Amino acid sequence: MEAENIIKLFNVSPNSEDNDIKENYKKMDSLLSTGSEKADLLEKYLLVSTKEKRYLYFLTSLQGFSDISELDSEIISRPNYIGPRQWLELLE
Amino acid sequence: MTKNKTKNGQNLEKLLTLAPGSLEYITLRSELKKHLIDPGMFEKSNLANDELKNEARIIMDAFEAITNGMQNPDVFSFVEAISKDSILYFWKELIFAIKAFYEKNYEEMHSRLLSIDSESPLSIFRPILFYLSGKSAEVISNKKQKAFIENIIKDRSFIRSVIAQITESLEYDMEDLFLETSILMIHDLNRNYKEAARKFAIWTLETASTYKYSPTSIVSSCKKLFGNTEAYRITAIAMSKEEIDISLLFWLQSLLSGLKSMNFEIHEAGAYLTVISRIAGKVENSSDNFYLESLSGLIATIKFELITRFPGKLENNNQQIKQFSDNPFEELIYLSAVYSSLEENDIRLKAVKAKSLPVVEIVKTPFVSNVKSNKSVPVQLSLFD
Repeated sequence: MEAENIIKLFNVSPNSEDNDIKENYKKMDSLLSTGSEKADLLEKYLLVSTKEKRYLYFLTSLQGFSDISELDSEIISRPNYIGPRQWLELLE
Repeated sequence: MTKNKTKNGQNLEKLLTLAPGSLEYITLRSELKKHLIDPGMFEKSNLANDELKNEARIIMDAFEAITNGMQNPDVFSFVEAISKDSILYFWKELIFAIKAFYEKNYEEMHSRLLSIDSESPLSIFRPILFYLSGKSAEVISNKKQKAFIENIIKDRSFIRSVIAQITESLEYDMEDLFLETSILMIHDLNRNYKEAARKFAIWTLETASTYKYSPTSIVSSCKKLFGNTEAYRITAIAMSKEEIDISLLFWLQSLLSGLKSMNFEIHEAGAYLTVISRIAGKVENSSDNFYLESLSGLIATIKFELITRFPGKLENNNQQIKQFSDNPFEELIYLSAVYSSLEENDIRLKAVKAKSLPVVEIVKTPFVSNVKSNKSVPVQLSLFD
């Protein structure tokens, strides 16, 4: 898993407070049943448990496309973002 | 606030005048929850309390973010806190359903959509998102809904043609065409795909480096689009494979730019210095005087900014830093140990200290004496101008 995705996994941003990510970690941990899942989650948590670690992961997690064809597969196969207005129009 | 803001004309004003917690309030809230169309109405209402206004603002911000593809984890953590009792609960579920749809997490999308009451106007999105995710083959016949679906899955032929043009420009070694088309693409991607725009910018810089094309115009465009701190970080990442020493300069330039911004925290400085220290530990030496002058100039400016921004740390270790000031790479490793709380920086510093008289050896080399003489004058590469 990419480091930035670990930050997303815990639903925080780099400048979130350490307590918030700890709380989210505890909630997620309580939902897991197996030891290996818990160990995996703990490992991820420890990678982003402090603000400095989160900034470090944020700084280093971004990687470029290894080939231009990745741009094709990443963008063309993904749905478009069309903004809130078009979504709300369906409610009118 | 008007009655027609709810699908069946329910009067929300009545709800807002009732005592929260009363049986009538709870009953009416439960009913109105199913018919709410516009969360924004609470924000404008004089009758809504601060909690409801705040929830409405959170919902609107999150809805705008998710439909525009903006990454904002803080917004979503606020939405997550909205309770099942809230009149905005179905909006919360819709927002997370849309988020899950774009993340291709269709199980999550499915359960979120099912938790929206069938009577709610928001349930209109259920068959549409099921169709878009391939969870349902049911044909959508409504004209408006069909147009909506087409916009979501619209073919990006423009992107395909640009990719073909970039590939061709490399094949025929046409530098200008490559640079112009790539920059155009970065701008276009950045409108809707912020992450992809950065990934593509890195690829463009790496490719330019491989083909010996000038990266200046790409870096300039990145600065305009992403700001200096981010543009330098992107360039540093791009240079990290082929030109690690140049990458180090860009990391330093990114740190310097960050230090000059308003909200730069010491944790962020520590993280930057950790990345920089890792690279400094790998590069260790250079015989290029121009490079070393640039490096030493940047370090001098950064030290000044660090002392100004986070007073007390470096000044208290004045004697120690002199021990490393003859070797810019070791000086960076030392700075990381001062400003970072991560153990790896202390380990690297101990390794530097354990070397047998490294400073004396390095002082004898010509480039170090050159660095020393220019230490107080920051020198920057023209790429940074």
